[in-house]
Amino acid sequence: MKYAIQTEQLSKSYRGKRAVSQLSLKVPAGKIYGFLGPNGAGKSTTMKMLLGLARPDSGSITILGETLDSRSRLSILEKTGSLIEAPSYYANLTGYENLKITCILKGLPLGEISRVLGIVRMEAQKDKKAGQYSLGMKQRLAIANALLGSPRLLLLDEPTNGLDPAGIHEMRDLIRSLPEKYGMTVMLSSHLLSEIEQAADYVGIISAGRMIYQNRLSALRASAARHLLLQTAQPAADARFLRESLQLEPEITESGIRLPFAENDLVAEMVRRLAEHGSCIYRIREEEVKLEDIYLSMVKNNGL
Amino acid sequence: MRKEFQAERLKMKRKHTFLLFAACYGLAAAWMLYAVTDLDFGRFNDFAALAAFNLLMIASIFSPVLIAAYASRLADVEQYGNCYKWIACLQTPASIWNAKALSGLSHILLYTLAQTLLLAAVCGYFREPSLSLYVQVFLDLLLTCAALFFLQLWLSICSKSQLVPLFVSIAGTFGGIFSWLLAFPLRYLIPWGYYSALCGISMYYDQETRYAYYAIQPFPWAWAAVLALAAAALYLFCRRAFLRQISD
Repeated sequence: MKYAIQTEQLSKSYRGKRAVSQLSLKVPAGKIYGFLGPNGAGKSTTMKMLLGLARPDSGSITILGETLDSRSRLSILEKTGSLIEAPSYYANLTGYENLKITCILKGLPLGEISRVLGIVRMEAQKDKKAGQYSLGMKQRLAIANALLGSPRLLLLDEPTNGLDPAGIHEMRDLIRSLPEKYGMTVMLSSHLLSEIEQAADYVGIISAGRMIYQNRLSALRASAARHLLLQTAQPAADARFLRESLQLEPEITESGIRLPFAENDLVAEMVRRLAEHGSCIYRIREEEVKLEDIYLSMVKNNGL
Repeated sequence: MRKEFQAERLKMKRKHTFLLFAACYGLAAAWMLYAVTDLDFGRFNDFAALAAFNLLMIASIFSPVLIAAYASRLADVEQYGNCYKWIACLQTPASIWNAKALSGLSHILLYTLAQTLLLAAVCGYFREPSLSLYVQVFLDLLLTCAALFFLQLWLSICSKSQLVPLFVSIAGTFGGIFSWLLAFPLRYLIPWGYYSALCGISMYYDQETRYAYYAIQPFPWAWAAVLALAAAALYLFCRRAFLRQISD
């Protein structure tokens, strides 16, 4: 698989405190990669390192086939658009003039401005001062800025922060359309699972600076399936019995024995065998594990 | 660097910096003309020295606040809209800083030149021109304004509220004005006092005759060098503060 971003053992500390630890990131080209993690997990620090705004203590970064260092940084950034932290704007300049700043500094033709204004549907507000824009308009202006020059890679740090539900919906639709319409790779960071779930193809979960999961989002969804929960008098012994007699894969949890979801025949067989074995069954019920629960348990297990 | 300069000029649009400089210059010019038009020139031993002395005093009143307001605008355009990281993704942070510092210095240089030309015009029109005096005044104004510019820009970059550097400049202006009355070494201790510290003109007021005598002294090159070094150090502080905004 071709990767737009690849990092190897990336680490960064601030005043002795580890912000990112041995992070190996793989962002597939032409896809939307959701970078998920709770606040303070190291997402923004990672994004800053990817843009050369913060220098890693160790590890390497390869973006669009080039190793990021002080010499290659500008050439990589020419092919990259970004939105880091809050939307940036010069309050005294109009939307058009804000985009002109990017065109001047990136050496792009001014004709690009009307193209990106069209994409974010801001043609009517282009002559209004950016300081008078609503937060949603500022976000759209920031996205327009990131899209100038048709970059091959887009890094968006919490792009829906502070938006109302309609704004979030609009932003999500726009982000989702980018790989298909313009062939871009989008790396999208958020602390909200629902945001990533609705936009991303791939997901990387970071917690306490460490990558704790990285794969297709569909693979994560697959683990969010239905289960059976069995409560018995002696869970450990009964779990061992089920493993040996029915070749099941029970897992002992705080609330009982968790088993993969099974059809009625298998459940009846399981109950019959346990009864014959002399097990005392208190309760048996279906349990649905949500994606959110899996995410929270991953984050919790990692100590954040 | 041309691109960064062009962007820097655009960033300051609608910030009315030209008006700021023009208003201060207009006030200084009006004050100078008011001070010399009705004089009995026979009472003064050196008119050029008197005019230069006047100009530097007026500069020590207006220039610090003007410089603070200008530096505050230069820093505020980026701070207000969270622009540091954005622009640092478009060009190298060092080149953006260089454009900002050079743009600021070019304004200071033009303002200093305009003030020196005002002195030359007043001296040439009313009395005798004195090229060496103009050079002294130019150096005094340029070095002091440049040091104050980097000091104020540093404060503006580091402060969340732009009122803090403005109040510092107002307090400094008072210090600078009073430093005309202070003897060595007190007037050399604060940057705002260098309008008087580098003023190579001495004044003696004779209470009996009620005449003021002015005399041009050698330019204090050693103190000018000290101020130039301080300006260079402030430039480095300022640069570091600017680059830190990007990496934080």
